[in-house]
Amino acid sequence: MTYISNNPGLAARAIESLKSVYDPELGLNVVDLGLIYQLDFDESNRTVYVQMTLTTRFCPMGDSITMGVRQAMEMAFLGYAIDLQLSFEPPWTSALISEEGKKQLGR
Amino acid sequence: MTTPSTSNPAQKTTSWKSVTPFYGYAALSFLFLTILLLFSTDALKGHFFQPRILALTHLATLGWGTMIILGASHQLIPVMVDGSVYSERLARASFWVTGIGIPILVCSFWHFTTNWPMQLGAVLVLTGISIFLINVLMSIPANKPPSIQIYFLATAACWLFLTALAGALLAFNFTYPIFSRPHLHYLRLHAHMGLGGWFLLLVIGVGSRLIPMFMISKYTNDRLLWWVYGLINLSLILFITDGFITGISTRSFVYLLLGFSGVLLFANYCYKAWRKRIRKKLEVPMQFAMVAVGLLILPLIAASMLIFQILTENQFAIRLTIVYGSLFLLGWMTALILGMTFKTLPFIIWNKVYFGLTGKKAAPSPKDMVNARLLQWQMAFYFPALILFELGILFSNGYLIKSGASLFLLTAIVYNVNVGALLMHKIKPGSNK
Repeated sequence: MTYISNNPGLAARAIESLKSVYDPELGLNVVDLGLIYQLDFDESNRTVYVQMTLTTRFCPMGDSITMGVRQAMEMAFLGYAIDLQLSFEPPWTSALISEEGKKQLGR
Repeated sequence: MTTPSTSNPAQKTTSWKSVTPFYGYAALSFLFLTILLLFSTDALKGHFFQPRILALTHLATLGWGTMIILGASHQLIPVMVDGSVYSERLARASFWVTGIGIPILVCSFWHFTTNWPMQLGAVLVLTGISIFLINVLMSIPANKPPSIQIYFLATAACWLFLTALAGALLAFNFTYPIFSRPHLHYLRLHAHMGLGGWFLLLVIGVGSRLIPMFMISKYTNDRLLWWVYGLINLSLILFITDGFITGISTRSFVYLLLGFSGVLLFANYCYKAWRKRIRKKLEVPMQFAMVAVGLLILPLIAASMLIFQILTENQFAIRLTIVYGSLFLLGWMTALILGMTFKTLPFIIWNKVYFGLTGKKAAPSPKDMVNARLLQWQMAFYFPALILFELGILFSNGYLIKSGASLFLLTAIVYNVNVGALLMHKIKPGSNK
């Protein structure tokens, strides 16, 4: 996993939920694809900060994937605000795909 | 609780409304093309400069090839230029103007009415293509250095404009003499601007971005792509300039060799991308695309034989010209479209139908929206069709031509059913769990 977080416990819960969000083209979830960069939690303000990327800035499925991430987080953290930021620094490369993801794509 | 937000430096992709009409138009053009092929056996055994062959060629290049590539280009411009399409209104205008012009032009060739219908068709096509060129050039962001893919895209659009301009001048030349030499002298220049400048450059430019992307390959090599770009453009410029002034000569072999080298370098690029791919299993559409890269070798071999036959004033050159053109259009270009349609259109439809349902409702993947069995049938019909058709023209055999054309028609029917089902795709009742 390549993401960073200020709360590993809650991040693990978020990751479980994010594994249900798939890139429709690749059939791989956003976690194993390496799209999630950062998961931070502000419990006093009940906010989840998600920083993620896309495989390309103008990914035709980009809006759909970010919406899927938002919905998955809303379901996992009921009553929390979701602050989702897209980042292209560093840009996504295939090196970010997890070993499990590579195994799935190699089938 | 704070207000939820999304910071989104990515921008909107092109609307399906601006793209799908091109796909539908192209699919129907392919169907009409194959029907007309079936009734053109005698014409296909004759000289290439005759009404029916001109009509078939323009239906294939404009109605089938150009319309689908214009549609796909509007969808892919954001991926290519890292920016949005300049104007969706212009995209729709280019569809309507070009789309009205094509049948007028094709009918005027078929019935050989060389006066106002042909001129009107040519002017409409030129106008529609000019709108596309403006949209492409205006979509290129001014604030960052253009990538090699942008050079391919913009140059291909310029070649398309020059092809349409030359075509319009040739259409007017039938009634108002503009050129000093016979029509045939300029026809090959017009044809190669389109085949090499438009189709080849655009497909290589788009392919150089999409092929590694779809296969998730680590391979990139901009330097090699610059060589491909330079060799193909140099080959075309020399061929067209020399061809305009003198005609076909032994120098034509050198120009062909330059273009051939560019194509071989691109084939090498695709091979290396394939070797370094993470996604091991290639789907049927990608198999079509990779076969198409290999198929491009055939018209180039035919071209070298054709130059030799023209120089030795052999009558076989006439037949070989149709083989060359059909290998390019019904071979390389069609194989590529038959594959890439089902790699691009499902995404457009998926975004139209399932957008906003991710994570809430069960949505199929874009590839599952394509009828895989029909895709297998399409492949099973297409390759024998191409072999029989080309052998039929090569040996001037009507039965082989008809058999090939019949299989092309079956390919087109299967393709149209698959495309039609995609265009009309709706959420299945009960899938909203």
